[in-house]
Amino acid sequence: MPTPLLDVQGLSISFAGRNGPIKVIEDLCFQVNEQETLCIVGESGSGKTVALLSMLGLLDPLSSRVEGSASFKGANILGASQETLRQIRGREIALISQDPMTAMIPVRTVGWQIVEQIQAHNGLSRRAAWNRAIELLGEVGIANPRMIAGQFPHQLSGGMRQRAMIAMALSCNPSLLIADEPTTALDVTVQAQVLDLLRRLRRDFGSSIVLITHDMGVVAEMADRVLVMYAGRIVEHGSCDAIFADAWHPYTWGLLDSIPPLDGPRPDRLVSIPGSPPQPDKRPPGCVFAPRCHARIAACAEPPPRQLADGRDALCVIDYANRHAGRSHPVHTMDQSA
Amino acid sequence: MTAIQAPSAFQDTRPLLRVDGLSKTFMVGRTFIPGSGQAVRAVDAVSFDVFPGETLGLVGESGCGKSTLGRSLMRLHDVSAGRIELDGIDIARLSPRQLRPYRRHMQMIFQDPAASLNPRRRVGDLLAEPLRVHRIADRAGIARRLRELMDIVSLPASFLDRYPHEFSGGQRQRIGIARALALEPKLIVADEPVSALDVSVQAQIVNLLSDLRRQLQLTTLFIAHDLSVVRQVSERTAVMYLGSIVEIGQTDLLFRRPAHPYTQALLSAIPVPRLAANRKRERILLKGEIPSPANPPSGCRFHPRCPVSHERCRTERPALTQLADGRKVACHFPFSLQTT
Repeated sequence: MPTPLLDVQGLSISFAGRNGPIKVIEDLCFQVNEQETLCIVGESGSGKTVALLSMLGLLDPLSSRVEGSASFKGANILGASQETLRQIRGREIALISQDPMTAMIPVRTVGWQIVEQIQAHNGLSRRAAWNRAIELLGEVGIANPRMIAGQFPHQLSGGMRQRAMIAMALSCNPSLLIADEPTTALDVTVQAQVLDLLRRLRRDFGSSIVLITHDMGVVAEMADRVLVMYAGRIVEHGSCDAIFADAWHPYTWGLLDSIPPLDGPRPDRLVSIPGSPPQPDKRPPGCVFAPRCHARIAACAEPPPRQLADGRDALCVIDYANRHAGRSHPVHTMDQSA
Repeated sequence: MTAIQAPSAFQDTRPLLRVDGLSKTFMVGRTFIPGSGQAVRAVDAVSFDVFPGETLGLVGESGCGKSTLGRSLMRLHDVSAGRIELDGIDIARLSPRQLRPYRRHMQMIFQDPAASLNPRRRVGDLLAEPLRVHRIADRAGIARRLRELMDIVSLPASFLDRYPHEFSGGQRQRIGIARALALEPKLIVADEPVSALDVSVQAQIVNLLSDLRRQLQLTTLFIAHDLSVVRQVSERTAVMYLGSIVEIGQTDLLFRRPAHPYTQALLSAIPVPRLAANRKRERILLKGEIPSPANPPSGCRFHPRCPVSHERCRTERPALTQLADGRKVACHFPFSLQTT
């Protein structure tokens, strides 16, 4: 089996809190293989963004503590020097953030920002870098790249800005593209265009993509493999097909079943997950999802086992025999606000 | 399914809200030079009815004018032209003073409960304020009503003494809903009430809203960009594009077989949480983005992005016309976008 592009083992992250450290990420293990799209799903506060920022060395070392290892192409990048990371960030691993407006310098033109990144990583002349920037803008589907390159971020629409961000991320042919909710701020018709672009990029450039999202629809369209995160842990992992065909974790059931359908009969009520995710410093002992879980049993007061089979796993005590019954009897009366 | 009444039942009754030719024009880029600035038609001659007990969904992408329309109906800003008849009375031109007695009949639920609840006031004060302003009840009556409201939105009465920041997003939205219901309004305008919430919490609030309308026979204009949520809650759906309604009709009809190419594209653009093999829709990728309402295209506003536009679409603007199945469409060539 080939070595994965990115191999994360036992990643834990704590932030300094008023009453001692608060663990926000606990024992994350996952791999990103060559030329695959891995989707990380979870709600706000589940730790999906923090986990990826830590790998790029973008967390404040004074207020955060990162443990575990993350090897990218065989070398550990957790705790690597900023000098080493500078060679990796942008060139090897590129980041597309949710809000392109805050990721760009507002007083510089879009072209300038792409040129800056190109010149930082390879010694092209300014003119060659500018031409390359225009080429890239064209590749991401911008109709008049020469004009757009000379414009400032605020002059572009949300969709255009996100395309420009993607062009910037692609400028050094990164082997790994991290896209953090790249379409959340966009309208559906524009989202469809950007997702289409990302798919095309993976095919043409052969980059691997880590796509962070909370939209199961986006997951279904993009993912090869899926990680479901809840309260700083991976609660379920498996191939996209496996998760949509037969999810194992009650949280994943909730995510999938709470989406109102676009066709077929309209349900009288939606299946909903009661309550809301716990604050990082108030996570329950035992299974973190137990207080909201309709399939909860006495054993859930203890930390749940990680069940593994067929290249997928779930952090849940419910085993194969009880899974089907657990999902098909959602308790409607639990619609409380707790 | 039993929850959704047959929409035809509504059509016989008199509409609670009748909007006729409503327009809202903003001036942008105005300077001290007379005649400078540019008129932007955010809402362009929109007409529709909302019947008692009905939920009308209003969908469209950002910038299409759906929020401006909602705020115009509430008279949160002045309207440029047209009529807003609430229970037969035109409120479009009333002065703020004249408007006051009507305000209690129409209330709004906002998108971001964190921003729409005053952080310095306790929940109890927030909910009591409308009751005090409109002199609905005495002290004891207010206290009773507050407990009632908390019960309606499934929050414990003990929360009345707490501040908004102590709550999660979902709980805050429940408070926002309770405040909107405090005066027992005839009409509720809900502007993206679930889109700021986490996925797992969205379903709770959608269920709460469906329960409430059943219990309290609420009439609601439900504004959202998420079509699946709109389908879940509304009997009829209106689709807006660039300030105008392009299609309006019974939700089931509209979603099953959209007539306007834009409705069709919008529906097809939603990523469906299913495996590829189980997906029915063919994706229609629209070119470009919504044009600026400051400089709208000629003819049909949608023609530059429309996959089936003809010569006529470039020059002649289609009117909203009724089809045989009762829906209205603003398109010269409805149903012409065929997908396999």
